[in-house]
Amino acid sequence: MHIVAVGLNYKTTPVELRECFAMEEERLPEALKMMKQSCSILEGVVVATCNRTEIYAVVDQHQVCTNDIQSFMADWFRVPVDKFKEHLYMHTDMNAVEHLFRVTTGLDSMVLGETQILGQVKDAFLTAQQHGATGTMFNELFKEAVTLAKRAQSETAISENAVSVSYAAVELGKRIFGSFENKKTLIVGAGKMSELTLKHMQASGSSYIYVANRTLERAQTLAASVNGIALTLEQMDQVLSDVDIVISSTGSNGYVVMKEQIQEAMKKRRTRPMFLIDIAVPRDLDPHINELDNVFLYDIDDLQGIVAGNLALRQQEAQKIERMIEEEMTTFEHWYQTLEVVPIIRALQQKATDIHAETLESLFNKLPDLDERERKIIHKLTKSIVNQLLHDPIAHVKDMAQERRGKEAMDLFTSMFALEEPLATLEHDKIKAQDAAAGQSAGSNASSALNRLRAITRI
Amino acid sequence: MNLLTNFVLYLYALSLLFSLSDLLQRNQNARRIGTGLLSLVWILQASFFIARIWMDNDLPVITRYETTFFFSWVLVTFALVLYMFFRAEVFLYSLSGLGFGIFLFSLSGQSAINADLAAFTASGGIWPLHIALSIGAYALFTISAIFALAYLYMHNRLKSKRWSTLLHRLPSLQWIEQMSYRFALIGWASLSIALLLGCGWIIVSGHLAMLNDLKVYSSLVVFVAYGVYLWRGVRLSTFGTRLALWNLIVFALVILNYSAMNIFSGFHKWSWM
Repeated sequence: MHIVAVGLNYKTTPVELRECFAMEEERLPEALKMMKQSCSILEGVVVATCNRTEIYAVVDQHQVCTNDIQSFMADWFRVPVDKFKEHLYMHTDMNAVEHLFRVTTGLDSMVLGETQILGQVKDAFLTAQQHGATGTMFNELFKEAVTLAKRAQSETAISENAVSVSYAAVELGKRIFGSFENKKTLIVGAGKMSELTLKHMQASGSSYIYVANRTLERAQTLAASVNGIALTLEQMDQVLSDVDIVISSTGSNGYVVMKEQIQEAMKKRRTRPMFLIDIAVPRDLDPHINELDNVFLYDIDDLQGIVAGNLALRQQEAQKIERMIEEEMTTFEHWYQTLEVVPIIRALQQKATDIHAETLESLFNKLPDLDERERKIIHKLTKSIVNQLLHDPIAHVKDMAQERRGKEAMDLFTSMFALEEPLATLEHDKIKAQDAAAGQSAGSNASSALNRLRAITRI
Repeated sequence: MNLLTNFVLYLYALSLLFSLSDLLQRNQNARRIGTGLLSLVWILQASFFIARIWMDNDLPVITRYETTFFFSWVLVTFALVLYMFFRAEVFLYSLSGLGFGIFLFSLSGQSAINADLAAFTASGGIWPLHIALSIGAYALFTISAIFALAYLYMHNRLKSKRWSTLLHRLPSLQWIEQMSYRFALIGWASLSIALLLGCGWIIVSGHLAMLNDLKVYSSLVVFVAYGVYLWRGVRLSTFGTRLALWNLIVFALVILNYSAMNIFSGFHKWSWM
């Protein structure tokens, strides 16, 4: 069995092509079903976001299946293979596991350390699980990926500091005021930037908004959209002492607000601080305003400087997550290797049980006078001998599976105990059971595993 | 040191290690364990006081060991309260760290009552309450000063536009300023009652000569200095960084009053033994 991750993302594919691979949520079950039918895929999960479309699969032969996945993508998204083949990347086995861990923790995201991707991967997995597209391997792998991402978020500061200019401004305001609730905001200028800023402020909880502009009509239009009050630039002085936040983005060539105006306003405000953001170029607010006590002025370069500093901090935190990923990969690898040894152990136990049953039957035929109690004692003692004999080989084969040459060791073990036939029988039974289960939609096992994952990922 | 004190000391040190771990590298589990251990330390310290009150039928705030122990307990109490209600983890760590330092210092003091103290205890009166309120006031002034320091740090960072992880973990500037003022106000009220009780007891017991003591004068200076600080704050004539600096200057007087003045005092020497 192999794990493969095939897909395209914002690093490898331009947006014009990426948008052709958008997956509608409601059609995801159908896609999973088609993928499982058309390819020799044992388990599958489709992660589709605005920045990536990836298919994770458990397959028998990864080369063949990668071609199948490409064909599936071409058919489903109606894009010729030649058009996207060069943008496609493929990771196999532990590389695929590492890729999933990096994606889930936000290390592979456009905005380093963003947390939205965790929810998206979780949803993709739960959808696949609900529709019977996952099995033992992905139930474990995705559970580990989600747990790892949550740990990364709680144990590092990867998602703590703002990495966009608008978010940095909101964060700064919160450091000064705590919250924007009942805070009064003055927007100077009524252009596109002002409109955008206004939406941000309203979303952050600022309820009293003034809009000041050179032409009153434009100010009125913008103010009306947020139940604000429109002012001309000349009227601005009247409200300066009343507002807590000033955001300026006019197209003026000179300063729109001078230090003296704020100084005058601060006399009336006394202890209440004032936060000013100048996002205009050339600047609207006199830089000397920042010299005033209890006044905090930030221009676009200051905000970008904070963002750059925060990005550097995120890079540092990302290194800690890289180490967590390494640890988690080792854990998964051990589990994966143990998984391969399970059928061998089961075959050995089955063979021993069969031999034990046959021998006892033969013994009881030869000693027909034994009563029920004697039979039970003999059964119990002989079973104990079998179990004791098997105990050490089973313990050792588990350890051997985790060694570097585990595969060879397991082959030798299979050969020594002549387990080829019982293994084949078990595999046959498994395929029959899978075929039977495929007829039904989500099985009870899937739902119990789903509940388990939900319990783990509950915030 | 008895077994309980040793146990509290180790628990306290362990709690600080976990807290430090979270402070250096955000770690929720370390914070939970650190806070849990600190709560246990608080319970054990409180049990010590209750047991002593039960046994002696009085507040155990006589020797230096007891007063500093009480000081440390008050700091831990407020550290936990601030964390419980405001999730102010940075203040939890700084106050518990300071509390640990004071707790260690308390262990170097003697716990037995000497001859001078024996005379005081024999005279009875309300002075254990006077000491407890004074120590409480000093602890509250300490917390207020820590808030003032945090305010100055945060103000400086925001003005100079230098972002940091610590800045992100601190509460808002306005909240810190309010807290600094409120703690100073409660501390001042506590000190007022302590001074009234102390002076009142001296007058009632007829030991008027005791009023002519350097410690009495310095305590009154602290009382007046905090009064001026609070008055300037309430009149809004001083605010922001200036008020925070005022706070730190007045707190320097508290330190002087608690350390040097006790040595030169005629009847407060015992608390420095």
